[in-house]
Amino acid sequence: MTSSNALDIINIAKSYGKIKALENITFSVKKGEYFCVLGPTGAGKTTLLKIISGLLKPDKGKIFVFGNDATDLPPEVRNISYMPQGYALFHHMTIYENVSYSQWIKDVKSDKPIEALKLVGLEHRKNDYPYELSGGQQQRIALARVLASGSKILLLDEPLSALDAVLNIELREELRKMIKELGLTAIHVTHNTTEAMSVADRILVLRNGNIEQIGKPHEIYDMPSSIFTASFLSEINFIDGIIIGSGTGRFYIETKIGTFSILRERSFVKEGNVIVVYRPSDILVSRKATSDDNQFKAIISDIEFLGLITRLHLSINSWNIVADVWTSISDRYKAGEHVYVIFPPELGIIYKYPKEGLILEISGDQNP
Amino acid sequence: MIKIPEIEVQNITKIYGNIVALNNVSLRIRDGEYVCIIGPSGSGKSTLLKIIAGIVKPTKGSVYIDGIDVNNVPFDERGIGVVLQDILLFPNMKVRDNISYPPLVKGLDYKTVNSITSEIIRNISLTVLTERFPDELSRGSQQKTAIARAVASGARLILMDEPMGSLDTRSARQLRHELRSLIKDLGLTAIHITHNQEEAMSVADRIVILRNGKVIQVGTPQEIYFNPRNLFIARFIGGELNALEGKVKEIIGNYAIIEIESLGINIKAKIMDKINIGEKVGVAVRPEDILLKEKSSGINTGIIKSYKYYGFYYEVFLDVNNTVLQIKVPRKRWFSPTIGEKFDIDIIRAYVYKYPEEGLEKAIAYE
Repeated sequence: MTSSNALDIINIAKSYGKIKALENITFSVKKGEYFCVLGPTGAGKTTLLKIISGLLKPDKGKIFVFGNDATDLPPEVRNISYMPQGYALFHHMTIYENVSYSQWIKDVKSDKPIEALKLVGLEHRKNDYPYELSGGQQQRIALARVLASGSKILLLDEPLSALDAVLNIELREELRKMIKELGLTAIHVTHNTTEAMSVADRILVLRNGNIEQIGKPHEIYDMPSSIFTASFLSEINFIDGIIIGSGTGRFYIETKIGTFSILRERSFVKEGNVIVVYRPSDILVSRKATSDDNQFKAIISDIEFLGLITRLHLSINSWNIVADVWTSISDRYKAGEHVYVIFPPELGIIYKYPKEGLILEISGDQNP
Repeated sequence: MIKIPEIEVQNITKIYGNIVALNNVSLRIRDGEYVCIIGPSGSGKSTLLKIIAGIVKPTKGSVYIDGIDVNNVPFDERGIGVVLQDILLFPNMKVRDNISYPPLVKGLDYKTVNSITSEIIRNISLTVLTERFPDELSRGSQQKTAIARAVASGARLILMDEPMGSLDTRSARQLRHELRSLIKDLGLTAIHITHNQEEAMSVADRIVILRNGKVIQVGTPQEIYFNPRNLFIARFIGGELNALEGKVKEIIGNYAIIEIESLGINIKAKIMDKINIGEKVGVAVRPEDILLKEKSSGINTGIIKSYKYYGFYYEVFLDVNNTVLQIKVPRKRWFSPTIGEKFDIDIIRAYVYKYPEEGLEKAIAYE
């Protein structure tokens, strides 16, 4: 094993009765990396963390921690700390007692709890009880407790999901900064796409116990390897068609509303039945016709104001789509207005038509 | 004829021990309106909802439903449907039976119950799932079923406390459209609490912002976004804000020219409080209201210190005269940031307030 990796997960599988929670999971996390595991509820995210921490035994596979086989090691000697979702603080203990709990169990004394409290900016509250703190502060204490353990690898299960949107933004910045400054390795599980994009060096997308994709945030956002991943990261527009030809570095796809031309490198297939995907933010809307390719007439059916963006609901003949325009610099549109919609050839993605059906692929619903 | 508002909350105060959870809150919610209540944790959102529902009694004030004081009317007689963050369904009943349960226990005949149930199932697109049990559904579909059941009770008013709270972001996005359409199609009145501002903007006709037990602004999503009444709201909607100290140079109608010494530039800002020339003021500039210009001319120029990619936009931290501005730049074909690169800025929208007594940082602090 290369020792530049903090973790090597090899062929891990876990079933609960008939349900396969994880299947053949293999990936590595580098030392000092901030690694996010992203996926819907029930994808196997928590099971994966529990297996890495040693709380759960995999049915098969190996786990290497800093190059050493840790598969059969008990949790407390793995140099890994696990922060479960909900971060339950001990309510009858002071902040300091909470944070120094792991030291107390191991019967060691050190400055680590105080250092950790300083790091989260709450040393002055060390004699208070958890209920005297706000939600954001309690979250910081839970983090301090994990930091004080002195482990080099932190497993964080939805560490920010209990927080309001604004606090989430604030704390995720702090969290990443701390991990980086302390030279720790973090595996952070979340179902919040923006959170993952914001903190992660790399993201692993998990679906039904399988790895869907691993990559840097921009790689996953710009070139998602499946329709599922594309639709998990943002809303998407999709239309089915057939590749009818190619030329000048493009594929031509015939659809019910007309022909699209899309760059060849944006396609996962060379022929046959396909799905063309465009993110709402990648579609351009204009009051006047332009000289762009992939231009269609549309009518605005509804306008959804979301602050930063304004979401236009549009109909192109029988195809209903959404396009996001930047509120601060865009024209003010009205429902009922006729506009031109442009699909830039360099931003579309072409997928093979999913054999298990499109709805299942989009919804990612693993239930029957 | 004057239309009686569906819900009127009049001077409601609620005190728990020595904590004032709600402080003289008044609200009118019109028939058929979809209202979202947002605000930081502990602002009193859930208490207000519970008082409207009749689960909690106010210390002072009254709630009127269709003009009738309902202070002494218990929850189950107020004709209210409730949806909570924790999804509560009968696990041993199929989707269809869960939904038809409320009209059935009300004693309606089977034919009526069936037609009510079928209409709601069609409306919220649960048709293909009706024969499943709750644990065979995704979390999003479970919550949909819970919403359908609340609606099936015949309630004209639906109260929802964080209905998307236990869903992943994608399921929440999908459900919010269906939820709004259902409420609108059936002509119901809805009050929906959320901590997600985007969700509120998406579903609400009007938004109520609570802070420390007080209503601090009520308006349509556009009104609140384009006219934040104070610095806190300017930050709260969107989550991020450049809060700057300035001095009033000139007043032109509803706008003022503000000198921002730290940036070495003047900003034109919309006047939100009464201010005077020469006065020290607080200026709010949203990250998306600062434009980076394609070429740098050396005027109002900053250097990129760091940036982050969020897919549909870049978040850029730009150092202008040793002050760092947070800027959101939509992904465009020409823009791909590099650390150290220079850009001119153009501030297209800003708001000016009286300088807050507690200082800028505290004024926009979240907790």
